[in-house]
Amino acid sequence: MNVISVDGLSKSYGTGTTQVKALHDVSFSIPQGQFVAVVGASGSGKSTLLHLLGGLDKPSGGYVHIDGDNLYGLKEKERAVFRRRKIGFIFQSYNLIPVLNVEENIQLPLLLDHRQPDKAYINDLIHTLGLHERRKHLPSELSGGQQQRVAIGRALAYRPAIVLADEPTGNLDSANGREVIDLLKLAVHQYHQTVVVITHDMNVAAEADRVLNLQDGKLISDTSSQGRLV
Amino acid sequence: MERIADPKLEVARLWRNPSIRRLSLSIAILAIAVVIFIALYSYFSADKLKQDWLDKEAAMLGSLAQDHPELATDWLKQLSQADEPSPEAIAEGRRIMERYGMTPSAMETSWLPVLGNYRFRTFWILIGAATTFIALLTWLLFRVIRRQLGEIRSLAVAMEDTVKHNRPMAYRMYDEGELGLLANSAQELTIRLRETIEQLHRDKAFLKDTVADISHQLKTPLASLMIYIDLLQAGQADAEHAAEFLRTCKRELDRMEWLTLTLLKLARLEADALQMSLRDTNLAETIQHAVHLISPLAVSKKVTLRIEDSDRGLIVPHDSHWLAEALANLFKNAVEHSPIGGTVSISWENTPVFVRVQVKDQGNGIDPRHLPHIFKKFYRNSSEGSGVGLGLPLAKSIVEKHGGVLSAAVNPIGGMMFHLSLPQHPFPVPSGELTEL
Repeated sequence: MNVISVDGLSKSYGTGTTQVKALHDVSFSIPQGQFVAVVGASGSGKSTLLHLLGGLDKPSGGYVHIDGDNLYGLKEKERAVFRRRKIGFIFQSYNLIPVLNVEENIQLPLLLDHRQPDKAYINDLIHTLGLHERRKHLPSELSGGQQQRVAIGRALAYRPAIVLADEPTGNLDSANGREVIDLLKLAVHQYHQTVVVITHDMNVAAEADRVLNLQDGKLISDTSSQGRLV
Repeated sequence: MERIADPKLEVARLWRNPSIRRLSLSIAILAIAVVIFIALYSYFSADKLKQDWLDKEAAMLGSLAQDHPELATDWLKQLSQADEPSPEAIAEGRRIMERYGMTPSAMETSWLPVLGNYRFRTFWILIGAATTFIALLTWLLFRVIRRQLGEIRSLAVAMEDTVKHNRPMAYRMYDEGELGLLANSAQELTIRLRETIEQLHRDKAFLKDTVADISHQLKTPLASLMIYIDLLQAGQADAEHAAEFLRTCKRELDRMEWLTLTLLKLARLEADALQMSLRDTNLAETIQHAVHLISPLAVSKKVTLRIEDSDRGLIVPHDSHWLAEALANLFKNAVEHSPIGGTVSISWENTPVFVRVQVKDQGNGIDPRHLPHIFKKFYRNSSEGSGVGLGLPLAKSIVEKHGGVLSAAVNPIGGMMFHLSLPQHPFPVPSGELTEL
């Protein structure tokens, strides 16, 4: 069962002579439980692809199906709810809510849905992420590595089917970066989640089950043929 | 069970819902109450009007009878008088009126048909207004409920379909509010169900593969054993050859024993038939134990196993027996791929989330293309090493059982690096795991 399937996805900005094709006819599918790295030079369309996978942008053409749902067939409002429940995001710049503490930031997706968070699960998650001594701290009181771990916690709180990470190690030193990647790998293994990571760090890409290589908005290589079978 | 194939909601279907029945009953009671109220109101209001009118007239007549001269002024005064007329005046007036047959009952029919009209008008206008209002409200309410019931119904149809045919839910709803949450939970449930079924299929395939692996791996040594035993039985071999054959037989049997044991271990680990008993234990001791297991091999290959300067007092929750086995397999692999006289260095570090053990060798490394495969069973990419490709998969299984990650990378300065990351606190396992076997 493919959890993500992308078909003829294109995205262009501007019109006429000033038109820029950020993504051109990209197709692939990802089965559940894979750890996929998307690599490519800056401007190759990596971030555009991730934004389209996460329903944060609108494609100029093509489809994105997540868990069998046509992401862009949903209404704007439905897509927002879909994102919250099905997709976890991790960004390079962490994007935590500055006025909420660690615990609240992690529970945010659940609270937005007026759901009662599973206290034991959240508690364990905070322990695993090594944040239990900082659970009442604000993001501004944390180091970069800690902030990114909070973001991982937030992405895992709803236990979404897929986690999308845009340069998650971009602002971190190598030790913290490794930690983030190990945590994402654990999530793949433990919860059978699908993780898509955008990176230009070849060490991160080497850890992936599969590497998608983008160049000038086109998919030029995909190691899926030799990827790990899950 | 009620058939729910048709997702259209006709009235009869709608009527089956207790909420609809309750609502209808409430509205009916409300309507009856309103009608009764209106009837009573129009009756009493007309009656009051009549009474007031009569009182007024009576008072006027009474006054007229008392004071003849100021007829006009009194008349006007009575008409414009705001407060209640005096009871004496009313009584006097009534008496005079009765003399002229002007009683309430007579007035109603003959003298004052206008009063009847008033009552009639009030009643029907109020009834009309109330009926329109109630009907409109009912229509709106039913529309809202019907829509919600329609959504619930579609959800039920989709769930029935999913349960019967084991396919993803056809009806999806991404909405705020209770219904949205219900739809989400239903979808999660069907996904769990599907995963469980897939897991069962995987387990079945795994069992098949394991049996195939074991029989395949045992076939070759068994065949050679048969040949040697045949030769020995035939008595054709001289004493020197016989001893040689017996040594080979012993070696093959040892190999078979090791193979079956390892495969069984792996099978039990992968089938979750074995649980790690995680205890807070000194990591350095476990590593030392693993080094000890491999040192005969290292000595024979003249490879040094060196434990780098790391925190020897570090306590990590792990199963020392199994983790030593995993580490020993990693060390064995590293020793086998090291050049003679080489060094395998072992180090570990403590981070807020993980304890990470690193094993580095000075071998030739491998082509990164092979990296995703080296943890697969029976995968061998070089002629080096004595194994059959079970050591690394076993190590990986054990590490994953600890809730950790085992990964391999090519060292840029040469050789391989293995990273074994053990979480300080293993990831929470979702409660009520369906796929637990």
